[in-house]
Amino acid sequence: MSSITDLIRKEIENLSTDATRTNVGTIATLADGVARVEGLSKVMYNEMVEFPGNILGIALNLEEDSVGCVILGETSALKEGDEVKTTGKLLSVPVGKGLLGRVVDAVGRPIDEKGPIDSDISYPVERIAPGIIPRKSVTQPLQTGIMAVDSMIPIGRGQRELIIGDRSTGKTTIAIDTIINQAKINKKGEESGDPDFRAVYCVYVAIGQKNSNVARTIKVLEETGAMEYVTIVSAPAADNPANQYLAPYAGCAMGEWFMENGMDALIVYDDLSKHAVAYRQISLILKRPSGREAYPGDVFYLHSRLLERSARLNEDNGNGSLTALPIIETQMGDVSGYIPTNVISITDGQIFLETDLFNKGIRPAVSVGLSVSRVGSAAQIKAYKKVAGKVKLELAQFRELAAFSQFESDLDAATKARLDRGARIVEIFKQTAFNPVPVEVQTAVMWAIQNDFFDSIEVSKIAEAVDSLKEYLYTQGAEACNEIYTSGKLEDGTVEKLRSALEDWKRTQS
Amino acid sequence: MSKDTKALKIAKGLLLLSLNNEGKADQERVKEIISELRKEGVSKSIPILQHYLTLMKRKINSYQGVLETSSNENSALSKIFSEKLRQAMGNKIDLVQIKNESLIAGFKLRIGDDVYEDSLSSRISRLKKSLT
Repeated sequence: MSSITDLIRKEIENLSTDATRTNVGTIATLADGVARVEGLSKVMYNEMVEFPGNILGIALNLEEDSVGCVILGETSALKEGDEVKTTGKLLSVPVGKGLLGRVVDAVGRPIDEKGPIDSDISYPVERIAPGIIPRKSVTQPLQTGIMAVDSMIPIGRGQRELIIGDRSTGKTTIAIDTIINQAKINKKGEESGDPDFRAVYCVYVAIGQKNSNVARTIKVLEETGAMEYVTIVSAPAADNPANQYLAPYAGCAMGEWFMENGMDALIVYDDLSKHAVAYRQISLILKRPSGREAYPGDVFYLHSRLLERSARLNEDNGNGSLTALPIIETQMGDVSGYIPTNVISITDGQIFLETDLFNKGIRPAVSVGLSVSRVGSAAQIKAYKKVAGKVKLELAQFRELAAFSQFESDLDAATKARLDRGARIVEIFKQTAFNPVPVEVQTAVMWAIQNDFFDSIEVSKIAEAVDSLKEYLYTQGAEACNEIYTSGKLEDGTVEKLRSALEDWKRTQS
Repeated sequence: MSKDTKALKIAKGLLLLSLNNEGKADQERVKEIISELRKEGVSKSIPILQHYLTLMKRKINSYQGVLETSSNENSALSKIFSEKLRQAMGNKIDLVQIKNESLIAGFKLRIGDDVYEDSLSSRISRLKKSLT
């Protein structure tokens, strides 16, 4: 009881008794979450403004005789003639470890009914991206746990890798798998007590999604124990376009806190197509001139300024990183659309998912030909680099030959061998959702492919064999795997242990 | 140039014609301008009048202030505020005093888009905000 009265007394003592000065205006028009305000002559660009009932807005259009503001809340209580005040502050969101395990809205308010956010620090949602000097090359891998990605399209900490594909091709699944894998690695690293271990904290930004989808994602993350390392920023389809526009910037500010404090973070923007649509809606209501596909002229800047904030900082700046996995939804596999081409050009590579592959049961449906990581093998551990170097080429050759061989009845031995190898690799890369594979096990499986351990197994039984091999590697082959995990290399001794474990496993298969 | 931009440009010109030597709006001149505008058709005059009204409001607000107090009208208080404002802003501000009991105590002064407030109700709402 006394603590409450002390708190109130303290607040009264600290209360400023100076006269306040505010700049005000009145709502002239109000439509679709955007208000045109007359007055507000001293408002700053991107400044937070206050509408009656503590409803916040942001000044986005500063015109000669009015100000265009997007409203971040319920607009039904607002009406023409209502007074709007400047606040002198830019929109900020809470940041820090207190947000881990929480679900917040676009302005950082909790929406998970778990009480207030435990954070004293806040960052403005719009910030300038790190410049050239504080940055460093991407060298440290960020394991997704998906064999097709980690072997052929490796992602590094601080990289921006786009996940692109049609609807229902497994884009979100790749992102969620990556988050789950980070949580698994974090737990293992924390248990090992390694002082050099660097955990990866995750931010998942859901933009314009159905609430049921967001709820499903939260459930998966909770069931897999990943939620304690994740912050979810949700601006669902039912939310106003202003919140959908702001959510990625808010999530980015939360991720930046980790980066600037010498930690590693991963941010998923799911998805930026809907983000561009929300921004187009706001821009059209604000009467900004529209261009191609009715998007405003600055739609490239909308995404470039967001994705440039992901970086790997050098040692002088804390050595932190923020990796971004933006998602883009294409229409009928068309990657030449306006928004897809924009984001492709901004990011450091893309994972392209094909509907045809997905429907054939090849999941994750990664298109080898169209997917690329501009960081390349620099973001792979040495052991993995050694075994996965040729896989992409082999698989690409297989896809080409497979199409060609449909018309050929008589194939030469070399072509037949390539087709056999390719068909096996395709089967090995098939992976169920929310089941990431640790890098050491991936390395061992890849080593087994390169050393012909799967050649005698029928293609139709490969998936079953891979599952049994993984199980074997977790148990009897754990020693070799642990050596790969700790050293990151495939030394002669490790190779011998791995060979002997695989030979033992092979005997169980016959 | 769009129709709206043209109307704004004309309204700005009309505003200049409506001001007297002191830079304040002259009622007679305003009446004349409105009667001249009436002669043009509705479709032409309405957009100009809308801009003219907005600009005129802004102009009047720049030299006319509203002083809200919790007590009854007090000419001495108005004079003190007028004098202080003249010293601070360099030009004379015409003050209109109105009673606003919701302030509880203190004052609220509005000049143009700026609102200066030192009232008990504003302090209470600040305290409420800091406690929630």
